[in-house]
Amino acid sequence: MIRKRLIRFKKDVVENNITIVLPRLINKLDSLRETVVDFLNKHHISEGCVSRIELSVYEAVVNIIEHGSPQYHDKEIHVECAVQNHEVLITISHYGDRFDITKAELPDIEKHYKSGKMRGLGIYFIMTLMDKVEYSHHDMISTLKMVKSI
Amino acid sequence: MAVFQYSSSRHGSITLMHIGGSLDAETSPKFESKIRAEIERGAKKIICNMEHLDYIASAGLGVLIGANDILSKIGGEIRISAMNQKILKIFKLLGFINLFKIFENDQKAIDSF
Repeated sequence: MIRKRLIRFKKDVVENNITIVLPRLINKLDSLRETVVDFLNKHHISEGCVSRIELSVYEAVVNIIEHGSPQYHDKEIHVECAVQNHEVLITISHYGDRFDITKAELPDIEKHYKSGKMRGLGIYFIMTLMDKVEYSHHDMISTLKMVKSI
Repeated sequence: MAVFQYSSSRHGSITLMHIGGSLDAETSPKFESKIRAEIERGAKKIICNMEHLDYIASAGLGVLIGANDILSKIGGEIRISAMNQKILKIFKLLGFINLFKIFENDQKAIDSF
């Protein structure tokens, strides 16, 4: 476990895609955001698209860290980002129980606001900001695919 | 590690909070404690200056919504000033633009109360 903690954050950049492997630690998400934004900027993606993708990736990974079972705390999260055929494809996979965010009921923002709720907005962000979101779960691996046209 | 900056000043009955850096899952608890402390000290009319806010995630918006809910019960409100274009675009995309009163600068926000 100590060795894994020492690795902390690793990334492999290969042409049109990038894979980021990170531990389930909130304080690593800043580096994740920076890496994704740098990658997208190198591909000259518009600022608006970069903001949408940056926020969606962040919210998806926060959900895994904050709501994943503590027994999987030492399992890393894999984030792949690919630019292909006029779209950006994000694939986030992690070991854990099934939770299909595409089936979650989206909040009515006006009602949510009036109720003063402080949580549950992350999925709304993802579903609003991305063009396509798919979820699958096989052999305890949850995979979330998000697509943004560019 | 995410960076969050905060400062506050009083302008009569109005509390002006300058927030900067990132308001995300890591820094939102700090922001929440700051804003709640202001409310406990009697602040009702709060302006959040977001000129130097680079990033806001759902956790940060959640804190704003929660604090505004507390204030609305005691006749108060949070208003926003000097929001930069990046954050403004996110607010528009997510449909949050109508949830808070947003002003071009601090003076206009102060005058609005």
